Amino acid sequence: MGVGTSIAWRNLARERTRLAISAGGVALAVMLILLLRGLYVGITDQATRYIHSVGADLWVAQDGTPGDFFHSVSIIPETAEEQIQSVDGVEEVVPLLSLPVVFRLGSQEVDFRLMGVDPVSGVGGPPGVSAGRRTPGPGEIVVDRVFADNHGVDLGDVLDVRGLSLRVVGIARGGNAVISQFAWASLPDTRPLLGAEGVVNYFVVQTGGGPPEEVGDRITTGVPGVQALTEDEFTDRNTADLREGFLPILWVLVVIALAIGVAVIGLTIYTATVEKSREYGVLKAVGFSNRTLYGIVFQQSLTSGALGFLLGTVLSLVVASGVERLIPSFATSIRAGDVGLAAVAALAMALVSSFVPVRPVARVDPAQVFRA
Amino acid sequence: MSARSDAALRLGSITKVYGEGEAAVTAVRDASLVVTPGQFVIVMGPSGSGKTTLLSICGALLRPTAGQVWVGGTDITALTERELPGLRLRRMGFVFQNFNLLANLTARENVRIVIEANGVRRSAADARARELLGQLRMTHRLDALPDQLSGGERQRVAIARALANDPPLILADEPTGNLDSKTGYQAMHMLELLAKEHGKTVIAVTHDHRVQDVADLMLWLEDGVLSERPPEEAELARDPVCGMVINALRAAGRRERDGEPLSFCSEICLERFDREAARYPSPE
Ligand SMILES: Nc1ncnc2c1ncn2[C@@H]1O[C@H](COP(=O)(O)OP(=O)(O)OP(=O)(O)O)[C@@H](O)[C@H]1O
Ligand SMILES: [Mg+2]
Repeated sequence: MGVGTSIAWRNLARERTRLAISAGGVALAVMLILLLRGLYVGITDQATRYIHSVGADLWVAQDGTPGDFFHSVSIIPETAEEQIQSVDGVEEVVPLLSLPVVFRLGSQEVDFRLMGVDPVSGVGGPPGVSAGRRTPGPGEIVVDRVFADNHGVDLGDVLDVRGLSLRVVGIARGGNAVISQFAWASLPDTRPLLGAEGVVNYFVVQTGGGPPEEVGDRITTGVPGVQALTEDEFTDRNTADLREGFLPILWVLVVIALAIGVAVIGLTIYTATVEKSREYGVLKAVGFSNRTLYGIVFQQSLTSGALGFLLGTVLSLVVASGVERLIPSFATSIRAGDVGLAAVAALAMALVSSFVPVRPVARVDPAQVFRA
Repeated sequence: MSARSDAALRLGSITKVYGEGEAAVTAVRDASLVVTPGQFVIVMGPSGSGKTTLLSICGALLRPTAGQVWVGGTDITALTERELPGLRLRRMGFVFQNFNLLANLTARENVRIVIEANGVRRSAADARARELLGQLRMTHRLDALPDQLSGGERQRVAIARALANDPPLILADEPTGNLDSKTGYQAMHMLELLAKEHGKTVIAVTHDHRVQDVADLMLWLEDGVLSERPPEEAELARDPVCGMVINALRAAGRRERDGEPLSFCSEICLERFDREAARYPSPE
């Protein structure tokens, strides 16, 4: 905190419009970064909430397929269940059906991803319910809240799913996978829709003791035609689309936001400096070094950056919670790590833009101060 | 000690040429000078004669094209660019015609930052700034911004700033130029006091011929040539172009015809004369 600080503070405090513009520029950039990141994280969270809620140590899918819900049809013979059960370290094996279903609901065509779950254990059922029951019995179905809201479905309604009459007994929470929603029925009810006997889509495996990876390796090598994925791997495969489709665009936007921030601080600090070049000349004449003068410029842009960061973070949190209240399916989740990223970005904006007026400062000729 | 380090300021054959080739302007020609500590020196001369240039060279703001400048015992023309700011900070104080205070800083802050720049802690610097402003009778205006101050008050803040780090040498370029005559004399007397009572060496450029009585040394600069006394005593002369009676010392320029000196009120008359000298007979 040298002499430059007081000059920088005074300049900022007495020229608030300028400070507001540069801090506002940073705040917008920070908001863009935080909200986009928040949206991405929120969507990813939603898309994987169901998988996490199942709490399986391993997901067993057909070998040689991508393994995720959305891109592949995983077909495994039911007989694999016993083979998996006999692998060392496996405690529990539960079959799961999973198929995309399109059907008519009233006058419209709707779709969901129907999970056929074991009616006894309920493993693979919804993450939670906002109304009704969690585990569907014979002739019953649980639909997601978002699906129910979108299509006016309520408890007790009977859905005609491709010839199958299923009564809604639960409205689930956390089953919105953004582009589609999960629904849950009992495994035996679901089988006719799959149109094949003697096969299932997944096995959900709990292991006992030892790292799940090792048990998974034993399943993959020991049981023909299947691959075992840890929960992390399975989550990864289910979000590959988001990562590959959305993240690059997001990073491009982040870079644009950074550039905008740099341009706004850079421009305001540049004009501020040029306007003040006479004062910089006076300071040079009375004996201030160039370094001290750069310090004044840097502290001004640093303050703009810090203020913009705070403003942008607060506004992002407000906007995110406001949007979420209005549109529940539009989940944004701003994480500490991303706030850190925005802080680094704001610092970078301040740092880069403080180089913009280096030349005009260096060029000020102290001898000019004697000339009116 | 040699005579060189005894002198507060010493100029050895200073020449300053601006620009090159055809555009070259020689602002100061071969000027030499010795100023002893505590002297109050006044520099006068017509507009464009090189006063500001000379003062800038003394203040290490401008490098001479040729010659050397000693401040105290230091040859400042031998210093590097990096060493000059520190020299100006500690060894010189500047007073400008248009005050040149920082607009966003109060009177006190304007003085304080210069003390802080010399490595003094804020609280001590602040105390010294108060004290200096108090000596200049500015205690009641410590926290005023420059644009809330009168011209005379601004110049007092500027003088306090020049004294911030107690430098031995004070350089002032037309310090009274933006002040009315009463405030101007007051400012001049403050500078005089700095020399007579505080032992500062003060070099002031002014157009005001009436201050010459308070000076220890009067210097006359004309066409870049420095001399120790005006060409004539302060007498009246008639501008041959417009016929106005002016003080010869305050003439905008001079010419000579048939060994007779001619003085001009302004650049305009001088130009007219240079274009068509024959039209203007010498005044009686
Ligand atoms: N940076 C510069 N480049 C070129 N020429 C210059 C420059 N500065 C001053 N000059 C010229 O040098 C000469 C001396 O200028 P200077 O400002 O030193 O005169 P002065 O005596 O201070 O004048 P005034 O009384 O009007 O302030 C003038 O002819 C001026 O035009
Ligand atoms: Mg001048």
